[in-house]
Amino acid sequence: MSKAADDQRSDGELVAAINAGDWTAFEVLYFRHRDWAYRLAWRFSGDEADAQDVVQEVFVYLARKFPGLQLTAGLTTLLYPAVKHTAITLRKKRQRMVGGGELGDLEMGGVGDKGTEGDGELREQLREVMRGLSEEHREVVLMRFVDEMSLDEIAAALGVPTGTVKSRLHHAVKGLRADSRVRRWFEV
Amino acid sequence: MDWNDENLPERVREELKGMYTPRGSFSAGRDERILRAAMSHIAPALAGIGSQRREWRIRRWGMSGAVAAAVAVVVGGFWYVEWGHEAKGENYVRTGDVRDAFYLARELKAGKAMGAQWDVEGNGVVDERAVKALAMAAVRISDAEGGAR
Repeated sequence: MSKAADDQRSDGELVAAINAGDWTAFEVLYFRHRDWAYRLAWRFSGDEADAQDVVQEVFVYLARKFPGLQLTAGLTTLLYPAVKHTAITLRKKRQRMVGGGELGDLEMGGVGDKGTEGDGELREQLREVMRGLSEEHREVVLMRFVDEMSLDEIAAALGVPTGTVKSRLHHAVKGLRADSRVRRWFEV
Repeated sequence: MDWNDENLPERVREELKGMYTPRGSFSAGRDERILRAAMSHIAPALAGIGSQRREWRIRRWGMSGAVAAAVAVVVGGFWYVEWGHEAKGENYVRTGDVRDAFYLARELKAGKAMGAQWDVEGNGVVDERAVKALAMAAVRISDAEGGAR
């Protein structure tokens, strides 16, 4: 894995290498994007084991595209819809098995309660505020600040214009900043 | 300070990342299974087996598609070795598939002397050529079983 971390080639160069027969480049792509895919899958599925299964399905899905895949944007743009769709499908299946009702809040899935340790007070307040955002606004906030995707990458992944992403992000951040529960965290 | 409407303070960003980061992680075994599953699709595809829609250009390699696939498998085999996959040593039982090529590649890289049963080419030598021969045989087996799923 350390060799994958040291590889400086872009996603496009790695894809080209795989198309040319260098299978080891796929390993680099996998380790470069695995944790992002896992985090995203967990966000939509709400279950760590399911999220790992999603990662496997998505990278097998990616492997099936070779040879011949042409990458016009970052790999996250290509994989985002696949991760989201697969994770939601798994979650629906699990809910049907346990006799659950409607899918409800897809973005949260209770995952905000199960993340890594942090500032208890801020986290509790932030969790409440995030739940109050619309699904569209919450999604762009998480893609921007948790997944660290660029505005263009977010737009391509969601299939909307970059201007729409900027608008959603603007309103979401403005809403966060104006919320009395977290406003002080925006002040120096 | 006025935060711009498209940015968040660092502390808020860090808390969001913490909230939406799972505590679990991938084991090496899980990574291995995922990559093996992915490779089972790539290796036959790279050989141009099983799909008339895929055009595999190998002129720059100057060799047949089957050999190109074998080289891809050998490269993958040395990658497999780098993972430190536990050797099954004297208890390894040949499977008749690509795992034999991986196993032999790993043992040769570790400098181990291999027995006559690995002299698949019948030339009295067990070296990288035997690895390639095993890989090519695995590709042919994969083709017989239907190639890429």
